[in-house]
Amino acid sequence: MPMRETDEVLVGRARSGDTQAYDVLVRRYLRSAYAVALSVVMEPADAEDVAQDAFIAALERLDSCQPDRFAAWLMKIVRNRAISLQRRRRVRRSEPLEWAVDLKGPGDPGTDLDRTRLRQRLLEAMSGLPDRQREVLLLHDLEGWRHREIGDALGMKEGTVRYTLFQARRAVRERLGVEETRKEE
Amino acid sequence: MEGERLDLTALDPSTDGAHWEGLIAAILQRAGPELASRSERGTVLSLLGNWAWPVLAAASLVALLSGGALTLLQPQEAFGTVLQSLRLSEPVSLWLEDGGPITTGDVLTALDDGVRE
Repeated sequence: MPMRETDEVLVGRARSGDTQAYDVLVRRYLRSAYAVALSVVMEPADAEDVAQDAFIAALERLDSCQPDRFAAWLMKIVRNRAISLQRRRRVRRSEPLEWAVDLKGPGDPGTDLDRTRLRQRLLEAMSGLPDRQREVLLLHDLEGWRHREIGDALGMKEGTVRYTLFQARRAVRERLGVEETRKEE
Repeated sequence: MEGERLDLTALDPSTDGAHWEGLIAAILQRAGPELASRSERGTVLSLLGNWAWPVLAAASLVALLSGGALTLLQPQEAFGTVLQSLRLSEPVSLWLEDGGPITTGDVLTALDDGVRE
C-alpha cells in the first residue's frame, strides 16, 4: 500500500512546481474547500468557483504558508474569498437567493431530480444557520473531518466544535421537520 | 451531545464523478503557468547554486588563508598596511594599533582632527 505523503512534503514539492504534488493537495482538500465555501455562499456553483479560485490563490502564495498548517491556511483563504463573493453578490442583488441548481452530466433524470430537490431542501434548512455552524456541520457531516481537525482549522476548542455541531444539527432537523409538517398540511 | 450525523450526501459534488474530475482538471490547468514558473525558478536557482557555492567557498578559503598568512608573517606591519589602506584619520589608526582602551581625550582629539581636515 503506498504511503500517504504528509501535507508538509507535498507543499514543499508544490513550491518547487511539482504538478503531481499539487494535484494530490487539490484532490485531498477540494471537497473541504467546497464545504467551507458552500457554508458561506450557499450556492453550489458559486462554492465550486470559490474553491477553484482559492486553490489558485493558495498556489501563488504558497511560500507564505506554514507547510504543516496547510489545511487551516487554505480554509482561511476559501472563507475569505467566499465572504468577499457574498458581499459582492449582496451589493449586486437584493432579492433572496435562488436555489435553482442546474442538472449536469448524464444520469437518471428521476434520480437527479430527487437529488436536486433534496439538495435544495438541505440548503434551505441550513440557510438560517450562522456561518460558523454551517461550516462545522459541512466539514463534519459532509467532509468527515474530526472535531480536532475542525477546531484546528477554525481556531475553536474541540468542545466548542461539538456544541456548535449539536446546535447546527438540531436546527437543521427542526427546519426539515417543520417543512415536512407544512407539506402534510 | 452532538446528535446523529446528518446525511448530507446530496450536497456532495464529488458523487458526480465526471463533473468533479472536470473541476480538478480546470484547477490544474489554471495552475499550470504558476507551477511551470516555479519549476523553472527552481531549476535556475539550482543551476546557480551548483556553480556559485563552490566558487564562493573557494574565494572564502583564499581570503582566509591570505589573511592568516599576512597576520602570521608580519603581524604589526600587515595590520598597519591594512589600516593605511583604509585611510582612517591618524588618531583612529593610532588607537587601533595601540589596542588600548579609548579615553574621552582620544575622542576629542579625533573630533578636533576631523574638524581641521
